[in-house]
Amino acid sequence: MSGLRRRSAWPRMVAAVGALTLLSRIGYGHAQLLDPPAPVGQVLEEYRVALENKDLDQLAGLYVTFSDRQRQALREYMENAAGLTVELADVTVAPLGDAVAVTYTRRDHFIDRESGKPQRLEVRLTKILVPDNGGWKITDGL
Amino acid sequence: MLALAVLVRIVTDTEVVQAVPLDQVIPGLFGGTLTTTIQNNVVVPQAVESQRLRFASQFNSLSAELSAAHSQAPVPSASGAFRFSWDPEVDTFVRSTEDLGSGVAERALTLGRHTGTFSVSYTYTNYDTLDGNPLSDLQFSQSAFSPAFISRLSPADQAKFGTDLIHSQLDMSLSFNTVFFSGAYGITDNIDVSMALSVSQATLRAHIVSTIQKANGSQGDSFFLAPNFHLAAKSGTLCGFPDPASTNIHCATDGGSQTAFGTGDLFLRGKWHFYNTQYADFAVIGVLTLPTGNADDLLGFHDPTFTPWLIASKDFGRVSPHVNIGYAFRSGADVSQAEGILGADLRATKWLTLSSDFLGYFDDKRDGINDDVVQSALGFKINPFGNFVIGGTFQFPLNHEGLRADVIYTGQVEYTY
Repeated sequence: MSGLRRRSAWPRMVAAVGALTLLSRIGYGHAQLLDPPAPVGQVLEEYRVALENKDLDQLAGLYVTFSDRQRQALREYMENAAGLTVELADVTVAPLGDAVAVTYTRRDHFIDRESGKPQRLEVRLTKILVPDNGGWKITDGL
Repeated sequence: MLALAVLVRIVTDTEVVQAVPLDQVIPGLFGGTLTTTIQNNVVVPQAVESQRLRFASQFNSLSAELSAAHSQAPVPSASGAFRFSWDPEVDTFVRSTEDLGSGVAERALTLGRHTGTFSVSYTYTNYDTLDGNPLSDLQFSQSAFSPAFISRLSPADQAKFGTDLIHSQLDMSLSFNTVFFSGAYGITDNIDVSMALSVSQATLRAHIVSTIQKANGSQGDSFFLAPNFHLAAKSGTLCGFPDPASTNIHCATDGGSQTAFGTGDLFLRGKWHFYNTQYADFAVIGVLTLPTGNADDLLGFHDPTFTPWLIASKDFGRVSPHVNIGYAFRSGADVSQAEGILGADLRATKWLTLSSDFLGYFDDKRDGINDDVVQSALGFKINPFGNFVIGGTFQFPLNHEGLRADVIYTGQVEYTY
């Protein structure tokens, strides 16, 4: 026996991961606001509520343009999604000229009427919001 | 638990009873050699010679090919039909409009994040032909004596015995009953992992009759060495009943039958759907097989294998063509192969998908055994209710090369959660 204790690599790995995480946050910090400004947050909340209420007209009002194809696809999705709840999380906002780029994670929970099974869908999205009559409207996504 | 106990019992019992590995049943006929002599019923060392039987050597090298051939009944692929994906054009989740998929080919589509499938399939393969010849009537001929032996004989004996042949007629059958258990899970929307393990029962039966004859089929002048009418071989007997007055020492027969039961190789698979275009979506798949199956019993490969695949597919209305191209890297004990599948699915109705495929397997070892295997496959998948899919596939040979089954039958039940 050499009498030397082998030091575990785990504390160093955890410290390295922690440091990298902090550095990545600092790197984003200059370009992104972690809390959305109130008007932008209001649009997102209206968007979320419109989805949960399956109110296509209210939803269409949040977009600059809302095509028939989009309306049809949303109608089919909503009709199939029983008890739909929508969660928007990890929202960040970055200025983009007059517009803003809003990035968020959308989580949908519902019962799939076709299969009868609960579904949990998640997607990370970036949307461009432009000023419109003192508010904001959704124009496009990335 | 009871089923597990029964399974363990069957496996243990099979191993106790089994004396000879399956791949040694045919090479072991007559112990692999027969001794010929030019003097009946008299053992004179100068008059006898041991003949290594040609079919024994041929089947000795067939085991790797058989493993490859058995693996050519592909692991049934997950349908991936029950999923939602984000459609940026309409800015919402949409239910997949994909069909139920092919039973033998992969598509670029992945299952979707946190979507899983579990499937059980049964495949029955009963090999019918070897290079186009029926397995029930395989013929092998070789000289009854070596050129060196003949050269030591007198000119008269050279003329008499030099043209004698050992003609062997082999009647064999080989069949597999294979149950595949496979599961797949979507780690992200574009990455799946899956694993599959089979349990197989392989049965091989062989009966051989070897005769000494001339090229025209008439009885030869030499004999099998059979002191006191007991065939001088590790196994086998003279044909018919021993009769000192008869000439049945021109004919010897042997047979054997073995059944092996056990797990096949473990398949571990990762799939990445990485690129979409207007005309094709692309994915890559890596399949690692671990040799958990007993290769000597033809249940798996001898060593780990790795097969990278490039997958291209696209939906064009009701028709979804697909191309799979891969290369199976295997060790020298097995056979490396280029592999390809070309086909299309047709969404006949919302609950019924028909599929048609061509499958090709091309050995890098050009040894004349199963070098180029081309199959066709016709299949269907039905969604009877909920997230269940029931499927069936029938594979047919398109060429005669190697050890082939007239039809390979596969039935599959899949559940997506």
